[in-house]
Amino acid sequence: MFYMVRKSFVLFILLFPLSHQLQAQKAPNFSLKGNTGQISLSSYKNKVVYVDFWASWCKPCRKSFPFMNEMQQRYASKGLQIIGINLDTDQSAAAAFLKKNPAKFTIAYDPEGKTPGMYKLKVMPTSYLIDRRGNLINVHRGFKEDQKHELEMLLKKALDKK
Amino acid sequence: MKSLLTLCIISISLSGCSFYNATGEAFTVENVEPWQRDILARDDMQLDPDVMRTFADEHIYFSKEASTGGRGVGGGGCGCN
Amino acid sequence: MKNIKNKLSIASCTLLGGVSHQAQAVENSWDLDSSFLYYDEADGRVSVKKAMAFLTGDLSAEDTVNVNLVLDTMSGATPTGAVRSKTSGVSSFTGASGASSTIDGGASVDRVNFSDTRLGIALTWSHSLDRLSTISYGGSLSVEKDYQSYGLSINYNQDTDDRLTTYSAGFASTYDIIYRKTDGTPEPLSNVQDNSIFSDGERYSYDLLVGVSKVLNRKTIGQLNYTMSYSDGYHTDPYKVISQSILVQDTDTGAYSWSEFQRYYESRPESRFRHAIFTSMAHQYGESGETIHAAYRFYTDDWGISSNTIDLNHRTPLSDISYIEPHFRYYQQSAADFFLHSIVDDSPTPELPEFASADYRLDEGVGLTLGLEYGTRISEGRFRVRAEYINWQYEEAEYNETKAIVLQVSYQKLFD
Repeated sequence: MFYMVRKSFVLFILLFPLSHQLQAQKAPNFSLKGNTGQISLSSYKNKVVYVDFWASWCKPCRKSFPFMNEMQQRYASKGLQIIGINLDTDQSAAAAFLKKNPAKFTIAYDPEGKTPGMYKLKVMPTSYLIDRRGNLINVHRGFKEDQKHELEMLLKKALDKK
Repeated sequence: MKSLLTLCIISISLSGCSFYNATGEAFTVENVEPWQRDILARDDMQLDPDVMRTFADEHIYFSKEASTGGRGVGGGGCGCN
Repeated sequence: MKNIKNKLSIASCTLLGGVSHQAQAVENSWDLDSSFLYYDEADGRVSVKKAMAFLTGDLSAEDTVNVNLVLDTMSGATPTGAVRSKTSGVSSFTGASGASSTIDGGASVDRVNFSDTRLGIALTWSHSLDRLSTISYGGSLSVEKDYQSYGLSINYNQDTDDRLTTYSAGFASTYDIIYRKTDGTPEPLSNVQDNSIFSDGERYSYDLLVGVSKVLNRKTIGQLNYTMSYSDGYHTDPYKVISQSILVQDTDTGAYSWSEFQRYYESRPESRFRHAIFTSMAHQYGESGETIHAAYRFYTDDWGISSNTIDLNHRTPLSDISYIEPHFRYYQQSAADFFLHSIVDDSPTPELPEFASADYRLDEGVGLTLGLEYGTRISEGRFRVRAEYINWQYEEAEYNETKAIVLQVSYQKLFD
């Protein structure tokens, strides 16, 4: 008994901090103004969508931009769409950030912070991986350089599933 | 004076009471969502916004006054005049 | 079951991914912050030039290293603790910290010239244990001609899941070696003229910290710390003395002055137990984003000293890239139980207390600081310059006032 408890505890420790595999759960829809017009999650049917919440003042967010640019370019043909939801209340701060850190993926603006609550956002940045059927399949909190490989593996796995 | 200030800070942190600051803005203890931390992320909103200045000041006052401590632990001593 | 399998495959992928990418280059950026400080006391007392270099670098996504280098050059004339007397039976005297010569200013030597150089190196390695906790290990050393200090520290920070609260705990131990430039340490309360010298002094100190910082609202963060420190060993200042003297009245002018008979080396207890409660907060308000930093510390120890410190900074932006910041600090301390202006006794064999020091820093007193800082962005960094005036007033000490100015310029590289 004690052994089992300990074992599951170890499992928990191993799994918890990095990625959460979720039960089949529909990703909440949103419709926001973006750099390419109105951005709605529901319009990306049959695509793998990677939703990332970011803000100009968030330091690790900046580090995730080159990674997201790379992923968007590498997997666009396979059906990947990255959407960066900006949460700056001041849109000029977001614009200044994007000038310094150009995004090669879709940007949506949510200055009133309506979407993060729907996605139960706990940390900036957090990315949500949504499969082709609109199911939320992975939540990744924070961003560190050494997690790039792991995130790419998850993306590939989702893209391979038709 | 000292106990009043300490009490004030403790009560701010523990309860949800409201104050008004010098400009009449309400000061309320409230939850801050992760996406609402733009001001808190600013360099000048860090508890120690200038490490080199704090380091230098700590050394000056350590050398000239009988009290030390409070901010942290560690750091070397000196045979100060 | 399938779910667990999935989880396991992800876990192993994570682990493998972690291992195979361990060697992957992390954006390796080293940043150098530098600062120069000038401290100068009025009347040719202590003058210090301090150069600082703080180096920060990421070793990996989880590891950060800080290297702090400090070089102080100090000179001036510092009070010895002796009275300023018109007549003295004391003829010669060994100088203060790093003394090169003695003042020959008439009957009494109540100040002494010194010059010294101090090199301080501190190294900190911070390691993120997970998303919410960090542990850091520190080592420090400080060397001057008559003092060496070696320290080790460990600090742990734990954020709550919402990242609104951080709990901290820290422990440090320090080993100090204290001696005079020319010899060891004088026998406490021995007559200066006997020149009775003991070996080097040693002191071990242990510091403990527990603290919490908390986001109070969108514009306010607060902090509360408790620190405790116990030190054991040599606490005496090997250069400081105390006079045996009496006050005499001049028969012609009616003015009082000290007449010194003997001079003894000071003596302090062999241990010290200190406590401090420190609270601070940062708050922003107003349209232009003014910030207030306020801090308060209560300190007490078993030498009978207790103190209150209030520190206030108010920053007003002048533009998007520059600011001006006035600084006010108030400090008030009570005297150590064994502080004495002098041993007032005219007998040839006076009765000496167990501990006695005439060091003004152990007297009851008040310190006031007024300062002004200007900061602006220059290309990729921040430039700051500040000027401060400090005034300390003491109750009984022979030198009952210290006036000092501080000038500091700093350049700090910014990440964005």
